[in-house]
Amino acid sequence: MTGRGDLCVAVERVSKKFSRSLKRSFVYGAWDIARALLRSGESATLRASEFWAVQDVSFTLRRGQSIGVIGPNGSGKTTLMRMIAGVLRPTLGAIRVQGRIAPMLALGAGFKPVLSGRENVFLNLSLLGVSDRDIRARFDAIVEFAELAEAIDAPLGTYSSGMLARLGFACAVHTDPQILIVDEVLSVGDAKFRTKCRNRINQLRKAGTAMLLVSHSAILIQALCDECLYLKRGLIAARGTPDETLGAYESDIVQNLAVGNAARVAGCSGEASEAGHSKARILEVRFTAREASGAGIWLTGKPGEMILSVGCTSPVNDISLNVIITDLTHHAGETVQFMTSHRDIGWVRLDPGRPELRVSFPAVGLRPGTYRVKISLSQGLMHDILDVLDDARVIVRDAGSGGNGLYYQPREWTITGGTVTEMPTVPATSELEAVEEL
Amino acid sequence: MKRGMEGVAKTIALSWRLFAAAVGARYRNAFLGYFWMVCPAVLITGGVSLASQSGVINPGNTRLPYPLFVFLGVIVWQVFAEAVKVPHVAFDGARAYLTKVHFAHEALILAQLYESLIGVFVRFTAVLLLVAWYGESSWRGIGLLALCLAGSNLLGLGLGAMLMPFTMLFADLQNAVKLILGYGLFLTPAFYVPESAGLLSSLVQSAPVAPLMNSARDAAAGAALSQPDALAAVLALSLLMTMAGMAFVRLSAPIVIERLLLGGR
Repeated sequence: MTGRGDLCVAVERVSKKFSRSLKRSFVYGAWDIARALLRSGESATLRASEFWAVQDVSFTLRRGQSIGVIGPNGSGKTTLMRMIAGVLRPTLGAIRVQGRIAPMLALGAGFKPVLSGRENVFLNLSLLGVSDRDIRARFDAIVEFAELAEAIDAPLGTYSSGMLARLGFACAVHTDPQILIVDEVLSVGDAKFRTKCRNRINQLRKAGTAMLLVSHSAILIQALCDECLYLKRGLIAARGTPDETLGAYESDIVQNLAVGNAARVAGCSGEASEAGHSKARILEVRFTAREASGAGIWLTGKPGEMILSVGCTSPVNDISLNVIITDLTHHAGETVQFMTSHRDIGWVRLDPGRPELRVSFPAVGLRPGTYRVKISLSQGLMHDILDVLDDARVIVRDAGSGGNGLYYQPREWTITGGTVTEMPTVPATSELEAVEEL
Repeated sequence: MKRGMEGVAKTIALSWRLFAAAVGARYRNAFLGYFWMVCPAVLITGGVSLASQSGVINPGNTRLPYPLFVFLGVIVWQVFAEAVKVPHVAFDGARAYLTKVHFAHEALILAQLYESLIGVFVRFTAVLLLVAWYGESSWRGIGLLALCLAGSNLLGLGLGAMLMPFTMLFADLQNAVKLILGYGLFLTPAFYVPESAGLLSSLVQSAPVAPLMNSARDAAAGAALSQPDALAAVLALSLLMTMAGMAFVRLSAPIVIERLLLGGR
């Protein structure tokens, strides 16, 4: 039962405009001040170089509710959070907030390096709106939480970045918030401290604290949110349950990726032919999975294929297809796979026309994430490069078999002296990863 | 009404906290804090007095011993100039967290004002010492001197608050303000009594700080106020400007903060 009293945040048709030109934005600032003096309100039309960072967004957040906000960079997520936190004022529309907000966008606001940890706790919490009496009452708990009992009287400048983050986080969660705003993944301190942060957030949520979670991580949003908004260029592109919204978000990403791959293929074949290596050209590359909804996706643990179409004018011998897969999500830039067809199956002879090279994986071993695939066609042992596609992208999604490990281990389970009864209904993603990321 | 009062109490509590932090931070960096507040006035007074003795400057009929005359003028100007800077310094120093958390921005200015009041107090003490040195102090004089310095402080604060949103937006304006505060002293009756009827003379006499300087000197000389109406007008103006300035800061702060966020100056 949710009544009016449960309302924590009401965002009503909120829009915010920014200027792309810094100089203009200062001049507009002076005009806006003049307009404010005349009480004529901000203009709803865009002036030169202005754009809508957030446009006509409405939603409500109630006590105990948790809403995820997802979207590509520059889609207005952080601007929206800043407006809710009261740092920015909407150009149009209104935001009503009931209760204290702990904005995790602002860990350690106001910290001064020459002051001691103790003085900084008082300063930070005062800025977050906690009274002196309450700070004194919570002080010991904060220090204990931050694990800084020994260093609390040392100047903040002597703290390590981990200690600073711990103190900032400890202050933020001890403000007795009714609303938490968590922007991006909170990777504070070591694994032990992260567990503590997660538990503390869970504890607050169980006590009815509402949460807004901004993240790129589908896993985190699925595990922690009841509702999800997908922001695209400042507009709400989709909203609903995390599953529905994330589906819309991912299909958008995949579509963009497919367009990007096609463009890259077009770009690279032109270049290679100009360079005179036109014996074999890459015409098209496709990544498919039998069970996935669209092209450009592989599913961890499920069969997947990469199909390469090549254009040949005459027969070419001693061809090898070389594939390097690089991780862009976990350890950006790390090579995770290197395959060459001549080592696996021997030299290939391509007939004139449009031959197709297909590499199939019975079970994709990559963990969920985005990968860069570098594909080259080479000839002979000296690896004369006939064509290269440098920057194709493939998304690997979790299919429920667990994406928490470094790679997927194909496996079979056998039970003797018992039987498998039924499959529980769990979200496709595991909570372990969500927890780890938090 | 009750919520309004709570808000004010919270703002004041926060301003004290910010003030304590700023003072704590400052005096861990500098040992001669108070000295630097009075030093410029002493140097200027010394220099100008020497110039006057050797006949380079003709101060006119000052009634007071010339060093005291100059010192009072310079101190009144310094208090004014420092107060003009208060709102800008307050906002500029809080850039890092103005864009992160929402709080009552008046607290920033109040905290900076307390800091500037320390300066006023130190300068006031120096003035009293010098007045006592020349042996011309009375309770009425002390009260009047305090009133003049307070007026000068409020006048500067009000002006600074009105300028702050624009000086935060435009570096050029801030540089111009700094220049005027640095050399504006020469457009006031800080060093001499303008007696001719020329343009410069009327400009100098119409400077808003002029009645404050003149009244402070009357107080030190134990004489009757020469410009009671002008003093009353300037004091009323300073109160009015401070209140209007604070309201203006409140109105324009979100617009300024938004620009800070854009990665501007």
